[in-house]
Amino acid sequence: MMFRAAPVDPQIARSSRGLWGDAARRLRRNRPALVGLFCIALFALAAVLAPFISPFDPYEMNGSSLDAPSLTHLFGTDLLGRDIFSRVLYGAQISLFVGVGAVVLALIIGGVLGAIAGGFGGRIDGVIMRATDVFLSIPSILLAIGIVTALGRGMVQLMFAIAVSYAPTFARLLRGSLLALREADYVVAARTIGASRVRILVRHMLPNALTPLIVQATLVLATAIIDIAGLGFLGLGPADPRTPEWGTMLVDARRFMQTAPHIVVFIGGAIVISAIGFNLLGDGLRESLDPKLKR
Amino acid sequence: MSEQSLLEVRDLVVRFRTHDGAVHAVNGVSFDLAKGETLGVAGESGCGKSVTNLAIVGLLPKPAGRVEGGSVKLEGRELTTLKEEELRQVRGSEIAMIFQDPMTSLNPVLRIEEQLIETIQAHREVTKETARARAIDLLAAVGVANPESRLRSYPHEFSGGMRQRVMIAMALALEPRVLIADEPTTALDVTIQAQVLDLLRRLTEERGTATILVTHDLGVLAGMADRINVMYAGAVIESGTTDDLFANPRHPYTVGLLRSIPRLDGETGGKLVPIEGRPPDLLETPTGCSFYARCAWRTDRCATETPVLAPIDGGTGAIVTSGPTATHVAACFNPVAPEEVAEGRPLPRAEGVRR
Amino acid sequence: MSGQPLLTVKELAVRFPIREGLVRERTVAEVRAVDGVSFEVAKGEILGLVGESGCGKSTVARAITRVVKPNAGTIDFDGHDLATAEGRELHDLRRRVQMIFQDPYASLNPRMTVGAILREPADIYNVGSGAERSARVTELLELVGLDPRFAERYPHEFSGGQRQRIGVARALALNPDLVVADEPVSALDVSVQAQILNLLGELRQRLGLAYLFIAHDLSVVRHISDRTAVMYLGKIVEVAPSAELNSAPVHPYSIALLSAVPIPDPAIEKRRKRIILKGDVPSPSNPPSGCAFQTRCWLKEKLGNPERCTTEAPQLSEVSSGHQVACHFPDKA
Repeated sequence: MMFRAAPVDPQIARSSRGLWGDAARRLRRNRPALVGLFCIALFALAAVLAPFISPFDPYEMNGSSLDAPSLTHLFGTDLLGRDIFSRVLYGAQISLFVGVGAVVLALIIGGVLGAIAGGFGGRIDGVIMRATDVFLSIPSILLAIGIVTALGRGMVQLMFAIAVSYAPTFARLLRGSLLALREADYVVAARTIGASRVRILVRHMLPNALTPLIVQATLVLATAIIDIAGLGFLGLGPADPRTPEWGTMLVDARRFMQTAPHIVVFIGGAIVISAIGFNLLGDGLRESLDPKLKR
Repeated sequence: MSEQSLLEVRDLVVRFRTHDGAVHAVNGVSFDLAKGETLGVAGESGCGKSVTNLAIVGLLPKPAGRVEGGSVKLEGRELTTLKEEELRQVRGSEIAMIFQDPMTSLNPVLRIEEQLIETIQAHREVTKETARARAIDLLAAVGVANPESRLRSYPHEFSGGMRQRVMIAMALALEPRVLIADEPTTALDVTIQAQVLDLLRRLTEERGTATILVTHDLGVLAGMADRINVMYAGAVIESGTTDDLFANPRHPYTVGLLRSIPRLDGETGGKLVPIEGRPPDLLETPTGCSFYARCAWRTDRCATETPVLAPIDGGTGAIVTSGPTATHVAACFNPVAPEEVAEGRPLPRAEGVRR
Repeated sequence: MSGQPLLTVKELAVRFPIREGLVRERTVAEVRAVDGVSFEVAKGEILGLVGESGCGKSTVARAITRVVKPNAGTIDFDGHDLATAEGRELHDLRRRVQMIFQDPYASLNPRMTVGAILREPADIYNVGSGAERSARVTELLELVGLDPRFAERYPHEFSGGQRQRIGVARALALNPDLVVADEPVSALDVSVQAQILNLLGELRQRLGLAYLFIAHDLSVVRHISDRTAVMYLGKIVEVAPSAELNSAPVHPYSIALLSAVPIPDPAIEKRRKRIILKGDVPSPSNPPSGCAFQTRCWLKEKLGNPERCTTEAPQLSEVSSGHQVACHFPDKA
């Protein structure tokens, strides 16, 4: 019996692109996302390079009190004569460290809970979902305040507080995607082949449920940065009040809004740019990872 | 050109702008539609049959899709340059459309009554009572039992077949001169399809509505259409009366379509003759015949030159573009010979026989 | 019936509960998706199962591949009851019964390469060495007419027809005896349908496969299958050799169904007499009493609405050799 080979196809010649490759290509054509990436790069560079490019020690007095911006002090100085430019750079370090740490932690907690709930269902699903309901019914910033108050101030506590307040969102999101995938044909196909439940969850369901999680994580990172500053502003930031955390700095600067408004502008600007960066990137990712949304 | 021509489409070109470049969706489509005639449009997904119709009524998805050339005339009135407001008047009262999925055209939160009356009142100056009476008549005409009480229902309370009937009632509410039915029965089961086709045939005959019936099912066209345009890669590649086209298909693609489907009255177990490969990538600017890559009848000329629609017998008389005496035309340099049609593949031909 | 039966389904029933209640869910009604279906598939035979949407044909497929567990009945597959098998026994039986899906865009995991998809069955059952498994992937791709170099690619890079070939290759990976094909060509363009139908025919010849071929398109089923079973509202109403069903249908539903299928020939279409059924298929959660088809039956009307149709459900009985019909009046149609 002869088998007719499919006609020679031009696609053989083309190099293969995975779904991720395709998404990256679409992302590169998304202008707002590129602006977001630029903002994030600025933010990340500031954080990483702070020790090398800061002109002054952020903890030490290096000028007179409340200097206006000048060539020596690009952003001016604060009440204690510390260089604000240097403090903003080090502040980026704290925001990035605490923000990313909190989101990663939230992803781990929420991801595991969501995978168990969505992957196996039944009673355990009910228990996990009711628990997340309880957490979600409390405003996240309030929850974070409660946790920091209970655990005491400090960076790790801050990170943990924010992680706990966002973990339920991730758990719900992942569970939802997994539930939708349960009846997907390729999942049914895997069952008819005889794949085990764990294999189906790990190989077939999770990789296809990650996209919304990645998008959400990016967007949450933006909110987390604002939350960190917010908690700092409320006096729940790092234990050492001298730490150059943006929210804490903002409290001090607020008192001189009339006489030295540039301080608030520079610190606020840093917060806005980093938060907008992650927001734009998150939206861009959503569009490029899910081409159906486009057009 | 026919005197009776109601709708005249000339050299219509539609492109879609996408991230990957321009999609050449429709590449110079021309046809006429006469009063009371049913024109079938056959072709596979992506051949441009639906896009052509959307372009006619100005419903191309914006801003991606654009008419980049050609004209569409309804009784001599150019439609492609109309403003949105004027187009809205044309749609519904002069050209109505039915789609594959009625749920996309029915508003799920409004009762059928409100939608039907609204449609009628938007185009005709009548009282609500008159519009309501008309709505009841329409539902009865499309075979909805208890039309008065069914008027109070929401779209989701109807079955698929019933919903399509309601769509037909809505499309015919304003007695349009042209009805465009785009795969109206594809989502329906065969017994329901038979009901809906029967209804469509009866109503358009009664009212003398000219119809464009788009479907991938050649069987449906055989029973419904007076004439057929076969489309491939954004162009009409063969056109003729239904009888001519089925009795004497000349374009290799038309032959392929006919030979690749199993027929209820055919022999069992035999091998089908599939069309190998797949349609061309419409992102690329077409050169030569668009069917070249999949064609068993191709010659060197086909790779570089684009064939245009021409009478199949090479005749020089006037080409009739609509009505029952329409000329059978095909866009092919090396048309299929009658004895090859049954085989579905080229037979060795004696030199000099070829035109 | 020719040959030894490979699959014998008896009185198969699948019911889906309709649950209501916010706090405590309780079953308020049942959808009788499959309601007492019996048929056989011989070794190497193709049995076509046709019916309109909601008739339960896909649920039959899902019960046989044990995606759903039947509520009643037996599915005897080569001496094992697929309806009740669990654990190890079910796992081993799955190797021998494989499935082809309708939508080639939904049935392949978008995050796996074609090679990984085709290799997975062997990975699960631990068949052969790594090199043997890779060789098998190449073999499978060639078997379905695809270039082996495609193994590196992802499903979204292929057309619908090519994807369906990949789906077929996956179903063949474990050398099954029975392939359940659930509408394998209905999502494809007509010219591509022929490619897949020919491929399925060739594979059956070459590998001695048996198919349960499920479709709504009678022309397709008639073309490929040896025998055809017609389903309506969860029941089989007629089974016959495909050619006979087409030339001499007996059940009034089969007759109406056949007359509704359009034939691509204007001359025939003009001459044909259509039986146009009234109304819609009743809901399987509330099927009519007696014969399931009685609410739409043109024969019942013609015979003056005999009482028997509404009181007694007809059973499948033989009208001629290998031709069974579930109708009280098989000689009147």
